[in-house]
Amino acid sequence: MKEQNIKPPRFVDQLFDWYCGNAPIEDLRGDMEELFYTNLGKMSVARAKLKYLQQALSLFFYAIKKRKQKSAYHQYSQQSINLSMLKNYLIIAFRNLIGHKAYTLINVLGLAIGMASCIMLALYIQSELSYDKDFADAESIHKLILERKYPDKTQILAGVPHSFASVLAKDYQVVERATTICGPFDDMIISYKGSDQSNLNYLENDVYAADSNFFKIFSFKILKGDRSTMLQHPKSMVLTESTAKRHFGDEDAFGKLITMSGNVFTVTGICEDPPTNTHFKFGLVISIHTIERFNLDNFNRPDSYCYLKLRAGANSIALESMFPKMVDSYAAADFERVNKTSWLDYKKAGNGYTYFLRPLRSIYLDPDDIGGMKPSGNIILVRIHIGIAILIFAIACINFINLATARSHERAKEVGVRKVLGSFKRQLVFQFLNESFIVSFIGVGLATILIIVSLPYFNLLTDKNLQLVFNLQTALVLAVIIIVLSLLAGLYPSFVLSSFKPVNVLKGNFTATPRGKWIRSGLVVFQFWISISLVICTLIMQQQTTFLSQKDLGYDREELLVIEGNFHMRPSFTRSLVNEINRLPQVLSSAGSLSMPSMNGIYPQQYQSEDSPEIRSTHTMYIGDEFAETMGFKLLDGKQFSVATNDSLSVILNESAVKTFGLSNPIGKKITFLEQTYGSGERTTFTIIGVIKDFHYRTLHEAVNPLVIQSNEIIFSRMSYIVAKVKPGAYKEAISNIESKWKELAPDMPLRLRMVDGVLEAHYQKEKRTSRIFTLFSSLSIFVALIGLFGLSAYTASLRTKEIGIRKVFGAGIVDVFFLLTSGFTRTVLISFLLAAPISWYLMETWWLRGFAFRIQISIWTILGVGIAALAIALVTVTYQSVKAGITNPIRSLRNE
Amino acid sequence: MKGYIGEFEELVLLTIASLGEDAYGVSIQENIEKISNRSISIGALHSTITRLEEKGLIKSWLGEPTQERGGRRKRFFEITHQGKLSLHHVKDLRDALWKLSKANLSLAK
Repeated sequence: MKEQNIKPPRFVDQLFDWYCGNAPIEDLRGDMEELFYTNLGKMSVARAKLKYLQQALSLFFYAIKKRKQKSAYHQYSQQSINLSMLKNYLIIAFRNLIGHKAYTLINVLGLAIGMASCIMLALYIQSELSYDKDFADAESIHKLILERKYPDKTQILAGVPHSFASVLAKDYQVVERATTICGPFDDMIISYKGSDQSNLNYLENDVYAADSNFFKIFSFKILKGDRSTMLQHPKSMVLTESTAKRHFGDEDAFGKLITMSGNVFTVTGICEDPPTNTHFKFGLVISIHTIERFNLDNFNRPDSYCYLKLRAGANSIALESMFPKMVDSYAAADFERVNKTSWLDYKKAGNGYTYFLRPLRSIYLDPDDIGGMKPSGNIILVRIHIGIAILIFAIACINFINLATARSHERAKEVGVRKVLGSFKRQLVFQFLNESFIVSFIGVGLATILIIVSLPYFNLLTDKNLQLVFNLQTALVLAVIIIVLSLLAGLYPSFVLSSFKPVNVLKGNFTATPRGKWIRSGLVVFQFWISISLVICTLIMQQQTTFLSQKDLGYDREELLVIEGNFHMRPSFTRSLVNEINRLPQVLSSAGSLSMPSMNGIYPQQYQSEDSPEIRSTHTMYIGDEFAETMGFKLLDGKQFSVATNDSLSVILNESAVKTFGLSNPIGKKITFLEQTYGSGERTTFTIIGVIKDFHYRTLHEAVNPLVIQSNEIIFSRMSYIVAKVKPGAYKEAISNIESKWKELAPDMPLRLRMVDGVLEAHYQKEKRTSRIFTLFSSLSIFVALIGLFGLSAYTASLRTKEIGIRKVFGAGIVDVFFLLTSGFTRTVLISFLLAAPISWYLMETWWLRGFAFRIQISIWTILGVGIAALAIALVTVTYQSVKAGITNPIRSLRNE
Repeated sequence: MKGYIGEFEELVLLTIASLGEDAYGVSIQENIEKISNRSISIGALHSTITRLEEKGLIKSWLGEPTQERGGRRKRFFEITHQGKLSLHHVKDLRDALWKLSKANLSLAK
């Protein structure tokens, strides 16, 4: 040992210690060091060091072997965990939890609320992602989708012409089965004989027509009937369980006779209700062969949904590549027969039918809304919810980390004593992890209770039926959550706490390191950044939804009733009904129409104005006399349709249409209508008699497009909707009077009467729901963050007790102490706000508001308001502690020196 | 066969025996290197020592900490009775085979 200052390389020691783990190596290290110093005498320092490394590496397998042996064989081996120590850790942990009740409460409450939010969001996300996954062979089922090309636009359609299903099954080997399902037919009147042999009539919605392959492809449970044949024959009908129950109660519905649209159907099967997590929604399915037009070829007019089941291992992309040829060979002849124009010319003009497949499992979340039966989900929204869940999780974890490190000085002495008594760092880490595990366990337990209590309300909010099912899987997931949570939240604090130097700690000059303070402030900034962003987003969402529900639609929706029904083929009935309603004292005016804004009956048609040769596709409404007046459309020029005149060849345009057709002086000008729907190509020339102000005839997601209003007199004054303007406050009487009039005139038909306001509200349900979910979780996130802040402020104040005492002795007042303690937090919240404002502004601009044709401008005051509110709430939270510190008598804080 | 020991194990056992009270890692290694004139790594040595210890042929204890070696204790080794038996067994086997040898094993020509 000639040169004491030359030491074996440190990294080798560290490496050696690392792979030796808990193996007993004291003697080995000694041996190695002795050899090293012996070698120093024989060779160069570098060689000796190399030799040292060689020696260390040569012991690798030996060490690995020794690591595994913890048992009695080597009694000198150091075990980091054993039962009695574990017991001690548990005791200390519980003492700590019980001894600091406020701290424990903050921790557990924060974790519980955070975890409950996370798990509820997870349940919601899981339910959104679970659509259509439970069908047998779901992965081999695809839906046929049509991309319809027009010269000026393309449109994705969920529906396709019905004949392709049979063609696909016949011509392509890889297609095992194909099915056609058509619908929904709403407001169908069904009648059957009641138990007293009287005829009962009911209105039935969600009626579909399908072929016999439907139930062979989709594995809905069949409660009664033969799956493969129950829809085979015309006039057979399958009811869902709940439909059967609704009509027949406990009686067996199987084999009953039901009349609908002039056909007598036999109930040949009863199936389960389509589960909520499928994109299907039907109550009654009839055999599609009952409807005559489905027995004829149709390759051009989309009229039904088509699903394919491919054979195992089939490639859907390869199949798709054969579709263009299929369209050419089948659709062309059909098209030319109907439209009397060449298929090739039609395609050359930029029109086309492109078919493709979408997997069943992706239908619900598809952005193109290709499900057709239910409102679709939104994949972006699902991702955002996942993001929120993770962020709330993070906020809850940060609370734990911050509180644990902030109060480290309380545990420092304990750590020092444990170290002096021979505790290893690993053991201390384990001890503190153990504590975080206990807190997580209690937190998650409490979260589970919170979820059970609040899930019914959450279901109301989300319009779902979420449940926390207790089974092995849930238990495992919860266990994993607890472990992950205790590691995420506990790892950093336990390393901080266990790394204290016992000499410093026990001497008493232990101070919280500035680094720890920085990390804590950083984490608090992160928490508030997230919560403030969420709150800003939520407020903007709420403003937008309020804006939508209060936006002037261009017509008067207050006190407006609408009757809808399947009565368009009975003009004399509707005319007399309108007259009767008009005569009611509570009704200001009433009129009928084939089209209803925001509801239905508005289709694109082709027009050509006399001023320009261009043919334009323009939305068209068919309204009755006085409908415009009842709705409150504002006439800008010319006149409305009226009872006194025959308006069958007159049209009214909206402002946008006047602009698009380039008409400078529209009244009296001619506009030509080109019939396309039935392919006759017939031309009708109309005279423009009026111009009305633009009104929103679709939802507010869309801009107002050009609109041509024709009179329903051109189609025999038919009506599908009857609206009635009611005197203010006379809703109730008006409704009951209309009901009794209806019973007089149509005793066999159920009445469907709604308030237009309610109909409009329903269009923005999705946005409202999103906004409500956001409101809930942003409030929860900021609440959790505040809980953390409260705890943190308490400990900051307690750390500075003496300082405050001295300051007070020298004359500081409550206000000084208040500023002293709050300035740090104020800065933190301000920084978070500065980070949050641009991010949330950007998110709302690019993601949320872009989806609306009519939207609010984000106000700087909204954002600033949130900032000020956040600061105020944060200050209130820390004020309690600051004031408490401020009014404490300095004698109390200084006496124990 | 129980108690069978390999050549290197035998070497280590005999070295431990020859070192008496001073048999610990470094001294064993140095002695083997000196006597057998071959270089061995500490890893190989300790693998063998562990094996011998598991077989119950040697036993070990930790010495007192000294100022040398950074205060780290040495682990000393000692042959157990079982170890002695094994050594005897090997030696007996060799002697018997020497005696039975029909070839002249004498190096003298």
